[in-house]
Amino acid sequence: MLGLGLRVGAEVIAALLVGLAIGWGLDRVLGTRPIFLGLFILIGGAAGMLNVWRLVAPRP
Amino acid sequence: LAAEHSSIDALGQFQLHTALGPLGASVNFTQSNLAMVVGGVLILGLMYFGMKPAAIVPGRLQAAAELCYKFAYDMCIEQVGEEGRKFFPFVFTLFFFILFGNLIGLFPYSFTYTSHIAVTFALALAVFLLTTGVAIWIHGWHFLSYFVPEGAPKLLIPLLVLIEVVSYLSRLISLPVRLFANMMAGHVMMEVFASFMVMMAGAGTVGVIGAFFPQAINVILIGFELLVSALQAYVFALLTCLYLHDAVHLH
Repeated sequence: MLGLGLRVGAEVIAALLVGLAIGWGLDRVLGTRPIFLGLFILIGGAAGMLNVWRLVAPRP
Repeated sequence: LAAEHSSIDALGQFQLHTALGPLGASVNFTQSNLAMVVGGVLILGLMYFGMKPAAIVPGRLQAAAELCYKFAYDMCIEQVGEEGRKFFPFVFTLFFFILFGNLIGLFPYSFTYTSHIAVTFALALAVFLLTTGVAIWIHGWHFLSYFVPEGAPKLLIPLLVLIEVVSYLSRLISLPVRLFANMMAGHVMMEVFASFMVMMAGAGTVGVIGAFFPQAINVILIGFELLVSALQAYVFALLTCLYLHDAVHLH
């Protein structure tokens, strides 16, 4: 149970970090801060939820 | 030790220093590298001396070696399918490198090389590059269809592709962080309770009796760490197999 909890946490945070990194990088290259940063943090959160869903969804 | 300053230095144990005297210092050979070499030699030794008798009724060492082999082999075949046979050497190496790293770290005066994110990240990067390479090798440009969920409305596809790409890239973070965080947290906890023990023992007769409590917790923690060591190595290898399955079959 503890293992599952840690895995869920890692999945959400990892996706958020990737979204943050992509958004920050795009803004840095294009000079449009904070448009892509905000957008990709939202996308990162969504991807985190997707990861968690894949983790807990019953396998067919 | 930490008790002399009566503060807890829980992270000092992860500091790298060179091993093997002046020879190691000249090539920056750290105690982490030494632990890696010891782990690798132990695996090779187990396999070589375990399988050397090649008896029909295996002895203890041979039974251990055969169990290790079969465990990794079955995991490959079950998770990836028949194609998993090709990836067995990689998964076997990965699983036992991590497992022995975790277990070696439990010995006193030893070092847990899996408690450094640099090491686990390098392992995860190898897994990531391999799975992506395999997917491109087998499916070519068709590999990109992995990022398009089936049956999605056309209007939503650009957004869903972005989410899928971020989800795919997040493997590169979640895989190493899980292993590294588990190993580091366990060793920090043990260090903290060991420091409690030393600090209490320094506080007179009552303290010496009280020091048995953190000691008891540490005994339990060692058992817990044995479980975590095996479990995290298993999870890492299992997820590698799942990613390989995705790469081979694209859903």
